[in-house]
Amino acid sequence: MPREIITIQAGQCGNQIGQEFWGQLCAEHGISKDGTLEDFASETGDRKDVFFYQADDDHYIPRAILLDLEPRVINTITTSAYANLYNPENIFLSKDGGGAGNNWSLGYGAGEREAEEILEKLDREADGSDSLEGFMLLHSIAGGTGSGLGSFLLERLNDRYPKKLIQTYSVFPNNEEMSDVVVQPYNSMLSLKRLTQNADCVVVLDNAALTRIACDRLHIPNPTFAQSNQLVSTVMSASTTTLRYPGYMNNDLVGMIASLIPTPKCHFLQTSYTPYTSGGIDNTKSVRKTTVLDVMRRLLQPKNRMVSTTPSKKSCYVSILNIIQGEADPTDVHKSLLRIRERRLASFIPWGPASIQVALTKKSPYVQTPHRVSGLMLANHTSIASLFQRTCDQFDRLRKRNAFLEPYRQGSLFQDGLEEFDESREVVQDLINEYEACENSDYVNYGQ
Amino acid sequence: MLHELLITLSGFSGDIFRPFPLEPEVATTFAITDDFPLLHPAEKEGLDRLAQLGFYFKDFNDFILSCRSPSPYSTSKDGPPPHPSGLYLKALVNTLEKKLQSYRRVIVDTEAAILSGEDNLGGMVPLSTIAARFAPFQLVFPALSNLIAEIRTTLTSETPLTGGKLINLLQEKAASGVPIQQEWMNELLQGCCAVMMRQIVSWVIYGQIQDPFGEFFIVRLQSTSEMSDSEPGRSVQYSTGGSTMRSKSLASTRMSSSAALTSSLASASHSIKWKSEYALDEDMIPSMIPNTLAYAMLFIGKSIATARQAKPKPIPIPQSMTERHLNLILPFLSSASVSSADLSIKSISGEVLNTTQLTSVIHQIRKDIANHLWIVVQVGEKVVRTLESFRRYFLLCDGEFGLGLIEALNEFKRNRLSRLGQFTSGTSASVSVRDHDLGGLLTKAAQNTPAQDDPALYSFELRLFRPSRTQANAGGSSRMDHTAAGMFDDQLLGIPVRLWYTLTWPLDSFLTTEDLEHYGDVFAFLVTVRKAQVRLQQTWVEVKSMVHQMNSRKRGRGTRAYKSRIKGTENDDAGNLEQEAEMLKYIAAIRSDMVFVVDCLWTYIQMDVIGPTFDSLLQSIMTHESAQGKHGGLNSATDSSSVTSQTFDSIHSLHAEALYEIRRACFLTSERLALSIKNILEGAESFCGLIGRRAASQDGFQAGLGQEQDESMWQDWTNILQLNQVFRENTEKLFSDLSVVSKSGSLGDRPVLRQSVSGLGSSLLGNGPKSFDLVRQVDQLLLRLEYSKSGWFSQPKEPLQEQTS
Repeated sequence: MPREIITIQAGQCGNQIGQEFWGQLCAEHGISKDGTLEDFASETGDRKDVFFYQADDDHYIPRAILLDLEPRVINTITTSAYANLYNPENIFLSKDGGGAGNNWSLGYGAGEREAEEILEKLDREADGSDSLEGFMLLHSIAGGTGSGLGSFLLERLNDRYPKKLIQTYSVFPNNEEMSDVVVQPYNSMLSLKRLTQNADCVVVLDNAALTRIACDRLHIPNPTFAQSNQLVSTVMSASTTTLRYPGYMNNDLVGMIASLIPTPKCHFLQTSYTPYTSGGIDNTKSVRKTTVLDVMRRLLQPKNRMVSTTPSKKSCYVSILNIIQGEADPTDVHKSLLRIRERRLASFIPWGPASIQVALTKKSPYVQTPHRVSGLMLANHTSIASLFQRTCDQFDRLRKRNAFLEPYRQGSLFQDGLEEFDESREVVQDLINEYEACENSDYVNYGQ
Repeated sequence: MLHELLITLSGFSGDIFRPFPLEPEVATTFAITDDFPLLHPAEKEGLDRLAQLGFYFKDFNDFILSCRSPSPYSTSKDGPPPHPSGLYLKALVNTLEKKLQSYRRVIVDTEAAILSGEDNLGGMVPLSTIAARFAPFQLVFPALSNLIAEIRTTLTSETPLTGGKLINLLQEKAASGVPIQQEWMNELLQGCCAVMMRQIVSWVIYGQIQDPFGEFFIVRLQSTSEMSDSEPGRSVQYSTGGSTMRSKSLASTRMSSSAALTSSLASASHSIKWKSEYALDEDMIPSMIPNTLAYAMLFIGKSIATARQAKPKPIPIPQSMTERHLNLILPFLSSASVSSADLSIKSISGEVLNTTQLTSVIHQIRKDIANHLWIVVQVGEKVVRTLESFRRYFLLCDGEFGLGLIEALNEFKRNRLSRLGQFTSGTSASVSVRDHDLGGLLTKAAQNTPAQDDPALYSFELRLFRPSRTQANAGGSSRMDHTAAGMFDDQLLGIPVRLWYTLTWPLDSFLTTEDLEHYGDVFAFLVTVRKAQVRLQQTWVEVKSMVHQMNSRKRGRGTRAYKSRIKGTENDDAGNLEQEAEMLKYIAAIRSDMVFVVDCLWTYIQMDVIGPTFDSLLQSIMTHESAQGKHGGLNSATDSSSVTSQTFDSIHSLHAEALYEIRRACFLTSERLALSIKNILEGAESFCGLIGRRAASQDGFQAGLGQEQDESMWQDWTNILQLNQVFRENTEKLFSDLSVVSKSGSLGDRPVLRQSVSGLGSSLLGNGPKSFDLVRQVDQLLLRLEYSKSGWFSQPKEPLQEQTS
């Protein structure tokens, strides 16, 4: 039985990532841009129905819901080659079309206002699947729509489908340099609270790191959004390969999440991917020899990580899942594990057993890559707290001055005051504390 | 007088020559009556000597007659016929008859000579002349008589000299220094060999056993009914001919013995069909046929026979090939069936049957047949495909199918067994589940997965394991006892259920039912592991939803608490929530430990064990195949025969070896380790069950906190702590056991098991440095388990335990 996953893409960033993601999936499954199966796609063994379903004329439709409050990005999609891929009923555009103006509160408010229509789309998709496993939310947390509307959806989904999983791919703002969106720390903080409390698994993608990877690893001096989005879509497609090309393990989302996230609160994952090559980003370095060990070793290197964190001495891995794609010899895995342990390339939590879990999966037969083996690492690492801490610091700076708060007061949540801000701050602080506690051996102790 | 002598020489007694000794005793010769006058003692002695020949001749004729004529008792059911004979004996008798013609001719010639006076020396025929004419027979007949006496005595005894034994006897007799004796015996031998050759030809070319008397050294091991209808009335002509009349009763006696053979051999060869249907009866192999040659013949015939009987569609051997083989082998037939001109040449070489040539021809045929089958039947491809499907379903490499199966099983358990359980109590519920109830499960499991379109899945079925009565009774009290059911069988449904595969041709040539049993064991084990894994994953969702509930309560109270904190009054709830959060965190951590161990076990089995083992197995089969294809194309490379001839058997043994390795790496061969793992998995299951129940009740772990004390919740909590404790202990035990294995390099089970595994006796055993590398595999598991920190499981001091006490 396919364990379907419904993808919700919210806001400018979410939709752009989604666009790339679906393009990637189509390419990997041999689905053409209008949803029909390509002639060469005769191989079986892949599960298209996790992310797609078939219309009456057998063309594939993504289980995707496109949400935005301003029409620009979605219009780009509906005029692109992929226009006929999506189910037009699943596209939601705010009627006024004004967007959320980078205001979390507006996005959230729009969600409340349009809840009925949006949830109707969700329910329809959910009812259309046999054994829905969960939702995948693509958004950024800095802007207005992705963060605000996304937060609203997280809350609602949690109430409505308590037994389903909610995984998000959340793009964190580049908070190393000042952004043009000054209220970004507010938006991030409010979203982070929902991500902490309502999502089951958050794959953190950090614009700063994406830019860095594009510059350093791919030698693109000024990466465009499209290029960094492509990095994201590569990660997304790689992290779902075990679902789409089923093997003997991790056939469902919960299997993946359940081994990565030991305690429910620590559910923020970092990713690494190597080696990068994708259609659009061709001017990469020369092709090198890839082995399982090589890939696994590179995955552990901070420079390949898609999140910029500043690990402390005590930072450690809570869990690691490596998804190795391609022609990997299972016997190599053991050798690599041994080597990595010998070299002490990864340190783990002191309070429980942990290991590098490895899943070997097939590669799409339709996408040619110059590399024999490629790998994705999903890691639960305590250094993620530093990212939250940075957000907190920025938030605190603004909040102390009570700067730019006025636009938020319009939202229903802030009618009675700005307690929501402080509560969110508290929740995030809890999260940071939790991650820090994770580094100690007495993390799990009851009754003292 | 001379006529009297001639009559006597022809084997009839007359007035002068009488059987001697007289009536009451058994006559051993003809002799001149004592009261006969006018004879010089020397003459008397000479005459007696000649008369002896006559008696021999009579004796031979009697023997021939007795062997030929249908037994008068053949119609009566009771008692074996007095002279059970066989084709070989008939052939022998026939040749003898032919040979005796020369003796008759001598008598006739002698008479003619006497009458024509040719021999007359002055009106009388001297005795010496006659004696001279019969001199050669004086040398042969006593030996023949001995031979026949020997055969006679064995005929009436329990073990008649038939088939190969007869040939052996003749060969022994033929090894004589007396040329004429050697010649006669060789000729008799030729006669018998002719029969054997015919049997060989019919077997090697057509795959049929033409053996109504059970004398051939290749025996068909089948139920007697099938045997009897396959045998009579074959059109191949025997030199003796017309002998089938007596075959019925004979066959029945023979059949009882072959049935005994069947049972003995079948138990030895583990009922593999390839081996069970035909076998060599080594007693029957004549010494002139080397055992290896006999095995080669067995292989050829078996291949042809199985190919012909292949269901659903027989695979005929192409006519051209049959003809070619016939041409190859027919010269042996004609040379064996003797013309005396040939014989002289033969006897120079000293061989009745040119074994060297025969061997080369047989090998040639064998190679052809094997290649043919391999290519036409696509054996390699089929085997590979079947093994792939075994890997998918038996070994659960098809994860989605596994998930579906576990889901279907759970649903079945919920719907059927619980409902049945309402009316019947405990174990008796299992009685009312039947095989056909399980029938739909696999299809259901495969629904909407790639497996649903896989025709291979139809060969699989779930079966109830039916223990014998006593076991069933014991089963309720101590499940560990019936090891026959396999330790993990009852984990699927709570009742012993096994996955089974229906073997079809030509796969039954490589796989035994025992192999399938082993697969069933591994399957049960894997499903159990997988089930625990899935269950622990579901528990994650349950824990998560409890946390969410807690959070939403917190949120609800949060605003209140926030306000009350501003007002300066602390609420009791906050403490409770904190405690609940801690408890949930603790539960989550236990779950994560458990899932970690199970994950490690699962990845270890799939990635470290099954993956490489199966890959190398398939690899070696593929190389076999490509070798086959190449040689099939060349068709002349004689050196390929060694590769070819081993293929069928070596695939079987390769596979058996791989399967054994998997079983051992799953610790199924060591009861101690398997038990530890089972305990761990069961502990995890009951933990999940507990959490599941708590999560299903509205308020999770909140109930017991605060004012209203909920006893049951604290009870559960204690149980959870206890389960955790047990889990730690079990893992530690497993770990220390594994460490011991890693150090000693043995599971402590090897001597027994290695013998009991079929196919392991092959030459391949122990050749590969990779196989049986138990330590390596165990180390892999240990590495996975203790990756983050060495001593995690092996150190008895546990932070978790300390905290919980």
